[in-house]
Amino acid sequence: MRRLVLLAVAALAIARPGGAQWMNVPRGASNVAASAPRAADGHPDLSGIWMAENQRFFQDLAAGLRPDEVAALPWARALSQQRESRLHSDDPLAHCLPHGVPRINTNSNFPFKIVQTPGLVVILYEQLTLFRQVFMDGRWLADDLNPTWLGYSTGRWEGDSLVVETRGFNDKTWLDTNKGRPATEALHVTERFRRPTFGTLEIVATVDDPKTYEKPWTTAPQRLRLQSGTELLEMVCLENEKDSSHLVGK
Amino acid sequence: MVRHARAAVLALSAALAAASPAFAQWKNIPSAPSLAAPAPRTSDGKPDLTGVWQADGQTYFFDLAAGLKPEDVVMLPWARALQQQREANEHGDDPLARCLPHGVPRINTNGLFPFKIVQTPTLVVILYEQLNLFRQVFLDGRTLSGDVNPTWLGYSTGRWDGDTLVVDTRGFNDKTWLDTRKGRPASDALHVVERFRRPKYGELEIVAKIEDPKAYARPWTTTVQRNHLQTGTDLLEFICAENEKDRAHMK
Repeated sequence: MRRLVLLAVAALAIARPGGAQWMNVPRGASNVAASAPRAADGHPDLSGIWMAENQRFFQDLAAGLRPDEVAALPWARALSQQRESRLHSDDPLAHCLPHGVPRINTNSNFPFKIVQTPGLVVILYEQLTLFRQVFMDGRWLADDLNPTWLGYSTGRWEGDSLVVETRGFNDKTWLDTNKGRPATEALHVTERFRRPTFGTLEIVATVDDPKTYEKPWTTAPQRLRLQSGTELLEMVCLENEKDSSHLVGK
Repeated sequence: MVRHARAAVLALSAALAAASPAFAQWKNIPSAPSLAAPAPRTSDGKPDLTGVWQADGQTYFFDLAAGLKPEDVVMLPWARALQQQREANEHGDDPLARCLPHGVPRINTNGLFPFKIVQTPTLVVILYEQLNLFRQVFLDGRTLSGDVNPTWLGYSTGRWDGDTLVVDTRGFNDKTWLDTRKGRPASDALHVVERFRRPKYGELEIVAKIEDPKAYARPWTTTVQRNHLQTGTDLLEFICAENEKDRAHMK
């Protein structure tokens, strides 16, 4: 039963057809082991369609870490356990609500696309048809924000890494799916995006939420692969949606 | 009473989220020059349509044929019957009132929600605040295959015709509402051509051509839809399915 629910959360849309919508798509470099391309401003160009290598971090964002590295406060531990005992039926994603950050990067069943321009990086996500804007035009966040599912992001380059800082979350974030780790409005996520080869993207995320975790913690490197010869499909979660009424939990 | 109910449903379709709050999320946003200045240009010499835009009002959102003569838009009998049924049903069937996508070109026309164009030489992305949707317009030479999954927003390719970005979109499902008050339908044969032009820094013009031989006797073209640059603000997160209480009250 639990595995079934997890599967439903992971897949959501079962019928993912082939990517033969487009013809004459320009070929990228055929050698995915080549070095990353560069934008006109000399920074690595992260543009492309990416997908997580597997479900590892989607299920457990702390995969590969020692238990003592992720010290949840008692209320957060209790909420995690409640979510597991309710068979994950409360997962927002299972109700067509956004994944939260950084979970949104981790589902290997759906690709996302990075569109990089000098002042703005846009990330388009196939699952739920969501987007994020990462502002690199010098703006900064006001103190008094509407809380959101995906936060407000600014970016900067540190060498060849794009460092994205995101704040302004609501308190409904699930950091991961199997574990159901919570977060509060104090959540501050730092994602470091790096493209070590043409065909590989690496993400390392730091979760800083003093209301939920005793200390900040940082994921192991998450690997994603370039998806060539395909494109994002339209996914409209609420269309003919039949799952949520069956997700009753315990 | 019926009029009140209809007005209420229309207002609901139009607004969906009543609480679109102030936009003091960001500080130090780069400022724009005079809105009457000429449109900026990208490094490849094309007009740069990049910016946050919003329709001048609800004119085309309610009636895409606003300003046209009745004989300009000739619906086939089934389409006219469906359009009348939608009005008789007080627009309760509008997909947009159920958190489902507007369809094209209605998605550009709602004067209550901005959208943002992000232009690169080979790809133009349009981000829509309402329902948190996006469209990709490909300018990299790709062509649409003959057999595509039908979609709400279609598959778009673009080309430059002088200073006008011409966007061709096909591959729709048959659930499109071309407009809100009129509820004009379209079939899966719909082909939309949108012409985007930025006559000055602060203004974007859109002219849309509707070609759908299964629904209309001949193609028809809208009058000029004006959109204004929204400065000092940005898109807000809009999650229609969150705490959604309206659907249950619609017939």
